[in-house]
Amino acid sequence: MSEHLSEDQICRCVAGEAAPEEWAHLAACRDCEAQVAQGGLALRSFGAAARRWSGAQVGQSDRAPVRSGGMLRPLGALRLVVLMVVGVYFSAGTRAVPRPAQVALDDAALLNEVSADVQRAAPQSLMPFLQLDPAIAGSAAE
Amino acid sequence: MYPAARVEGGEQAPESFDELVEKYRHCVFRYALLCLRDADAAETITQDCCLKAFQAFEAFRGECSGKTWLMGIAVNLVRDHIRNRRLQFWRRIRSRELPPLESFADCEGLGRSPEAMVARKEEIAAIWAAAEQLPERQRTVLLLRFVEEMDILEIVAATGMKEGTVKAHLFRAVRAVRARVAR
Repeated sequence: MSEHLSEDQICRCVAGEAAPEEWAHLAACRDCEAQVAQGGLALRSFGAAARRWSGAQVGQSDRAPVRSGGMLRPLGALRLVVLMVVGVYFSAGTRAVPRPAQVALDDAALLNEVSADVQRAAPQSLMPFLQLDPAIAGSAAE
Repeated sequence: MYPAARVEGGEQAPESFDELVEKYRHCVFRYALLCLRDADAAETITQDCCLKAFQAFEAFRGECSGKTWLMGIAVNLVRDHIRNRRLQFWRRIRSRELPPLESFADCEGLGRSPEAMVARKEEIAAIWAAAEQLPERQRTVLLLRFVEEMDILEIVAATGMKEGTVKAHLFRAVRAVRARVAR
């Protein structure tokens, strides 16, 4: 085989499946040998890069939570939304029906406000006028 | 158990299922990741592969090496996964961003030339892009040959294809990759 190898023959050599006469040609032809070597090196470099790349993803994957199905992430998000809605619903429900202790506290606060209003010399709305005239304020106090 | 006498290539025979999985689990994950380009799906495939291997381990007679046997299960699982297109939309949405493969190129034998390093990265990126465009069986054979460094007979055992078919797919894959790199 005196001519150079064809592209298909080069491919077969790179794949490692060349015929004996093609190997023999490679041993004698530096151009073809260089082409095959270059092609093989490119694929081996790709393989090595792929192994390192995958190794880096293994670390990432170990940190990620293990999932068993493709739909789990959307379903998880949906489940979270449902839980939030249910939580909001029930917390709104507890506000609508106050507990007895809270009722007693509210009643006591209201009684205090009423008591303060009753003890006041004049209604709250007239208090600024009382401050303008000390005489009225004094008589009101008596 | 694992009959050592029938293991090819002088590979040290794993004594147990745990040892087999520990030794080759990363190969399964790597193959699935390279085929699917989705780390979560690759992890799921790896777990399924380990489960299937566990269920079938008693029946494993050691006709091939442990790696070849495990990769055979992985090849079938990945094929089934690719054919199941129903969830592709969700997969695309949820898949994690993967770093570019060519950024993991080594500079061995390139000296200190930045141009040579750039050229190698471009070459690897072109091969990676070409692999994505390959038909499924060509891609499988290419990855098993050049990433997993399996020989033709191991690929035959792992894929269930005939030897001539494997060689033909490998030849076509190499030709397609070289055409892409030459562009």
